[in-house]
Amino acid sequence: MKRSLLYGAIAAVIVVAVAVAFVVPNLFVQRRPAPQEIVVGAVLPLSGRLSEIGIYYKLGYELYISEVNKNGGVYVKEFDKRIPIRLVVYDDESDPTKSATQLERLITVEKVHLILGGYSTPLVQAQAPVAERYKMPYITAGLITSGVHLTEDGKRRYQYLFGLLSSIKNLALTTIEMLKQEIDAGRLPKPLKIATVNENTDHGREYLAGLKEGARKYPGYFEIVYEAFYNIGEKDFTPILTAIKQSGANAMLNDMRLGDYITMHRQYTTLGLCHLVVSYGPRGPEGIAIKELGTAAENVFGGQWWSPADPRPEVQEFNRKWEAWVRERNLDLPPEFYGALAYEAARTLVWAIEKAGSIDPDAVWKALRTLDSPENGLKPSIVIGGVIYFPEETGGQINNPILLAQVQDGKPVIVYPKESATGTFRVNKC
Amino acid sequence: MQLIDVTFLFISSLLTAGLYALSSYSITLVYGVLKIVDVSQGALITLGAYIAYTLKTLFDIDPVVTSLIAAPAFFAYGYFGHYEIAKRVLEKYSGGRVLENSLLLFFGVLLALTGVTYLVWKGDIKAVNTAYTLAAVELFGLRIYLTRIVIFLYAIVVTALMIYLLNRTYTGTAIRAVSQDLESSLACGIEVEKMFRTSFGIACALSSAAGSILTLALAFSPIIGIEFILIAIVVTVVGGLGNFTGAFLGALIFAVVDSLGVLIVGPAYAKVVALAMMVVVLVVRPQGLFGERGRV
Repeated sequence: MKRSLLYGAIAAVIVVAVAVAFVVPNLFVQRRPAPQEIVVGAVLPLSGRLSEIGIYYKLGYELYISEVNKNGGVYVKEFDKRIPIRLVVYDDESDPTKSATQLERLITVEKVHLILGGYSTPLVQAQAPVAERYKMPYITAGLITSGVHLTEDGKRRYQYLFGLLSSIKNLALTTIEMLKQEIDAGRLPKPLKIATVNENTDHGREYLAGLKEGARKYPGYFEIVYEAFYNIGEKDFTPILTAIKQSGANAMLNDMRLGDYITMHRQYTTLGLCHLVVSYGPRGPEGIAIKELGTAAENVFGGQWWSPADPRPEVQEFNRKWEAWVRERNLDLPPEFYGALAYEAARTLVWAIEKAGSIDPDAVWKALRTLDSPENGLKPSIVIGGVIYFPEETGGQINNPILLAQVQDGKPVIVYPKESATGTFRVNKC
Repeated sequence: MQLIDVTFLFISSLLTAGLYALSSYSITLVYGVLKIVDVSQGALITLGAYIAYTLKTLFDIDPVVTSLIAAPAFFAYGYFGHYEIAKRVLEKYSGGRVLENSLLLFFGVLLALTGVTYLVWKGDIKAVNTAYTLAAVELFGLRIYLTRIVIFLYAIVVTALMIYLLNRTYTGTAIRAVSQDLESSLACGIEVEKMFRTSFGIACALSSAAGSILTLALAFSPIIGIEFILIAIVVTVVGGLGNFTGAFLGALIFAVVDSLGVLIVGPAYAKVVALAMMVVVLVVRPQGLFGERGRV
């Protein structure tokens, strides 16, 4: 009897202790006061060699944030109110070392609530570890190389990195998909014999890996008859072009920097070479290339991560907003993918704040992690394919298709995918 | 690979050598006369390219003409401005560390001038398009780039002019004397400082000309001069430091080895073959294949 009383007493003490531990503290917890504004920081190349592009990202972020603020700000459930956003941008002078330092300063000195990503692979590569160290979700529209998202053994490199630009490998795969359609339609021979020359970097290796993966996917459709890597800034492509001529290829699919593309394609044209299809990876339909190559650029096609020529209504709506936005600032900057995808990066961050109901970086990060597939993605969107998502298998890098644009009659024409196409693909007559 | 392709590659690489030769002359001259390596000439190559681009865009002036227009201005800069920079090094370190310090100083000047180029023209890729950019000359069934022929002929003319200047004029003879024996030159009454200034003036004019001419064949960005100056160093080491004929022949050898290297080890490693050649030359014949110590 005495023992049962003792047990009863112990049980009662435990119950009371648990109740005190869980209930009492909550009686004294006060809700965090809502901040006057949500401070979002970004480090961009506003001076130095990348400054002409850095400004696009700043304007893209500002444009979306201005739209949010016009509606009173972003609704944060934790505070049950709309809070305006203030963007703080630091300049990294296009220098990776400064880029990392400036981001750290934003987080530790400026004490921003959240951050948005920078531009260009080396600068984002420098910033990503800083974001990871401070556990800040980092959405970038300025990184293509998948090697930053994934480790060599295919694991996610950074948990807090989310990329809005599809990989260069995806560009190669998209190219293969389009060419397969052309082969199936009888407009290209089967197998298509490919010569490929790629820059001697991760970028170039990734493109080649994509071509090979695509060729393996469709046995009998493609045969890679010549492959080579070249060093960026090559002055004389004659030996490579001679080897390509020898290879008997009828398609040339390269991954090159703009300057190398112009230099090589001039030499290609002067030597009188001709292939049924010619691509320089992400290069081809740029204005400067069309201007400097003239008719030699005709029918060259390349990948684009976004295009203002995309006929989808949401893209045209964005173009109008962008044009008005830059006009107000007396700037002459036509819509480009830099600004458009920066706008989408800011939109994704605001969506994540709303979804999390909090400005706590951890909660926002968890919300972003739910965008793990096209089905669970953020839509509609002006990105190609219309959905923003960050799959785990690509290390948080969006995996949407890429636009393929071809120079036709001196102008870039979107030829793939079908829903964004403004013209049909042309095969060279050799 | 067929014989006709190898022949074509050989001819093409010989023509490309014109580009390398032109870009190496300024380093050759400055080293020959002052015994310092002026890597900042790379930035003047870049400036020459951007001036050619600007004049072509604004006034449709051909880069060959631009090279002649810009040369006097660059000569003046070399004579009055660039020399003053070098002089400070020469005066301060005349005790024997001139070469090391000149390398550091001119590397700084190279970065500063490249920064100016970024500031003015930004970092975008530029290209110059002329009426003959895509033209070719048919020769025994081979298509040869017309731009390369123009560049090669330009290089031949510049080489001939430099050889004439150095061997047949008083200024040239004085420059050679200064390069061979400074003290005797002073004793003979040669205005040594004037010869130093003149050498810098000619070097800067040559660099700007090389920059203008390279736009005929290549797209470029502000780092083009840095790329060319590295090639120029290889070319001058192989050909013989401070020797114009050697530099021209060094450029020919470099271009041929680079081209054939692509066929043997692939384009990514062809430069390794060319650099290995430089190392071998340095070990076996430190003064270069065609060089004699202290000779311009």
